[in-house]
Amino acid sequence: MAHIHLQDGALPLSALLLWWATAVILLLVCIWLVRRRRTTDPAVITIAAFCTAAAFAVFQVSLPVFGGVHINLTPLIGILTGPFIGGIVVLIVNLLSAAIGHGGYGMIGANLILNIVEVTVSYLVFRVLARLTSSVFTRAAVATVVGLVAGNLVMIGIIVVSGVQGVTLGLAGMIQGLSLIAAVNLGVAVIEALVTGFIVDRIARARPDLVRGAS
Amino acid sequence: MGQVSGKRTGTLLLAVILVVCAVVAVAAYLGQGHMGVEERFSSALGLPGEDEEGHEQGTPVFVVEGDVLMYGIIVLVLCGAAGLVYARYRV
Repeated sequence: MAHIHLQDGALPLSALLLWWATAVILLLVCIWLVRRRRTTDPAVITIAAFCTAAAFAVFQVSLPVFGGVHINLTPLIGILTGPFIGGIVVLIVNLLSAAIGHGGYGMIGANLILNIVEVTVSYLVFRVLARLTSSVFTRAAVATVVGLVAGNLVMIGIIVVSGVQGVTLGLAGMIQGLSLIAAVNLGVAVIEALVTGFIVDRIARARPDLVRGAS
Repeated sequence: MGQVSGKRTGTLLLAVILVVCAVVAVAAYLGQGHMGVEERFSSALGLPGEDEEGHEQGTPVFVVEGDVLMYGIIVLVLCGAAGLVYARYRV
C-alpha cells in the first residue's frame, strides 16, 4: 500500500492546504456522483460498511515483513464498492486512523488523494481485465498491483511537488530515495494482491451478484 | 476453449507480475536495510530518525499502530455498525 508516513510538520503548510483542498474537491465529486448515479443500493452500502471495518482493522496492524509494513485494502474497497463510495470509505478510514494516532490530521488530504487513486485505478483495471481473462482471482490480483503502483507514483509526486522541510537532498536524491520506498512497497503489493484476489474470488463464487463485473 | 486460454493467459500474466514485484522489492529491501516504515521514509529523505525510544527499528511481530485501546473500541463500533447495516438490508 502507499501511505505517506511523515509527521504533520514535514510538509510545508501551503502544500498541506493544497492537498486537503484537492482531496475535499475529489470527495465532493464522489458524493455528487453517488447521488447523481443513485448507486446507493443496499448491497453496496452493506459491503462498504464491512470494507470500512476491515480496512480500518487491517491498516493499523504492522506486519513483520520487510521491517514492518501494513496493507490497507484500498484495491479491495475499489473493486467491491466502486470508486465513488470507495472514496468515502477511505476518508473514514483515514480520519479514524488519525484519531488513534496512526498518522497526522494534516497528512490526511495527501493520503486521501493517493488512496482515491488506488481505489479508482484498481476498480477500472478489474473491469477492463474482464476482456482478457475470466478468472476473478487473477483480475483482482492484477488490479491490486496496478492500483498500488499508481498510488506509489502519486505518493512520490505529492512529496516531490510539496518538498519536505529540513531536507537537504536535491530533487534527484529525493526521487531516488522515494523510488526505493516504492520498490519495497511492491513486496507489500504482492501480499495485498494475493489477499484481495482470494477475498474477491470467494465472494464472487458465493455471491456473484455482490461483485460488479464478476462475470 | 477460448475461456481456458484466457484463464491461462491471465494466470501467466499474474505470475510474471508477482515474481517481478517480489524480486524488485527484496532487492530494494536488501539495499536499504532492515528498518520500519517511518524510519524508511526518514532514511530515504535524509531526515533525522524520528523515534528516540528505539521501537521503530523494524517490527519482528504483528504490532498495532497508535492507541491500542482506541483501536479496539473503534473496531468493535465499526463491526457493530456493519452488522446493523447487514441486519437492516439483509442482502
